[in-house]
Amino acid sequence: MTRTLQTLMLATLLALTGAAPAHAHQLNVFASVAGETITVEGKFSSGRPAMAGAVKVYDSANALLHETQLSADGTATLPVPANVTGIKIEVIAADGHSNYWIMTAEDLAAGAAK
Amino acid sequence: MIARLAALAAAALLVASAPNRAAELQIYADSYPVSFFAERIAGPAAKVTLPLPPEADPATFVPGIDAVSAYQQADLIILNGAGLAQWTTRTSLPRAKTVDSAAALTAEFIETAGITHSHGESGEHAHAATNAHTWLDFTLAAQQADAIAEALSRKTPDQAATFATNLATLKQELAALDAEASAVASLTAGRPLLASHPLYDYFARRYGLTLTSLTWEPGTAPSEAQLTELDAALKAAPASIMLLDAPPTAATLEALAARSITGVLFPIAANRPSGGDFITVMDASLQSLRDALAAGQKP
Repeated sequence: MTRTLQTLMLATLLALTGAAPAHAHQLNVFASVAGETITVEGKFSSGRPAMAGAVKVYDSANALLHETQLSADGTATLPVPANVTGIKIEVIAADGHSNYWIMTAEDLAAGAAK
Repeated sequence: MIARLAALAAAALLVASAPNRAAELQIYADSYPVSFFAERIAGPAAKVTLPLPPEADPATFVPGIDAVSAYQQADLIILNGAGLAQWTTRTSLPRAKTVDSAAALTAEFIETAGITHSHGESGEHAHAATNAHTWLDFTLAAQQADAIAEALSRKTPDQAATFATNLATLKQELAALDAEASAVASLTAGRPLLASHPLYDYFARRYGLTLTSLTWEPGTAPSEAQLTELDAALKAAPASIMLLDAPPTAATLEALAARSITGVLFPIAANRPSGGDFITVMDASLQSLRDALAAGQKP
């Protein structure tokens, strides 16, 4: 059996059983600003969107500013918070995986100018 | 009169020093090895900042928003690369100013299984799929230093000759470490070693060590499960030395001694050491390993 075939079979088995290594299910979070709106995206490393989960926005002092939910396409929109020197957006997917995206005051200002 | 002269002299000094201060490059680094290399290559031409608190692991450290902003404003951002500082992929760092010192080393990367585990205060997590501790192969470290020197020279071409001289000195020191590591490794004569964490893979590969990595916290007493894991590892590869990435507890040393294992403190210097520098810390670790191997050879 060739190594390629063995690899394919192993990949198929892992996909079917969900027994992939821990890093295979990493949640990736990305956020961007356009005008007064922040768009948050949550995707697993496989490319699959996180179809449900909490989105929490914190300021630089780690105070919770805003909370919302991901929609079925793995995105959420929220207003740019006023008077902040940057934000940390945390996404906690329904399966428990979490990750974050940090936006500085400069990122927010650059996005607001779009 | 004297006071006025002193004031004038002080003002003249300030004026004279102002252009140099303005020209000083502001560099932010994500981890100690590349911070050290940048400091050594740039010399007084740059201020290198490593905003890692003591004891923080650059792999799991998350800087505050103000610190991220400072990175964005820096003249150069120097990263180890190989996926070491995970936060760097979770914010926008300006590409034109960001240097991945391991970008040219992808063919040399060692892949890991991404084992889920827990250490320090960071809780349970899985490290990236690429082993990021490239600098423990001192020839790879030298190539990372090359990349940093190249970036510095691109940024300030008029200082390229100075950077090249400083780089050559640094690479001589790294070559000396490489030679010493090879000499020390030869003393193992094929005997297996243990490591408290899967941190030494590049070191083991470069210097031909047979190494079994566990997932121990040297600063925490080993659990029953960890002792079972150790005993299984010893059955597979009887070792008499364990490399420890942090000072061990008495209970850790006791557990090792009960199995005739000598613990050798071998910090990987991912963060700034409390004393010495990259070269002296690595040199001391190699000496400790040399001593332990020599002691093991005595009848």
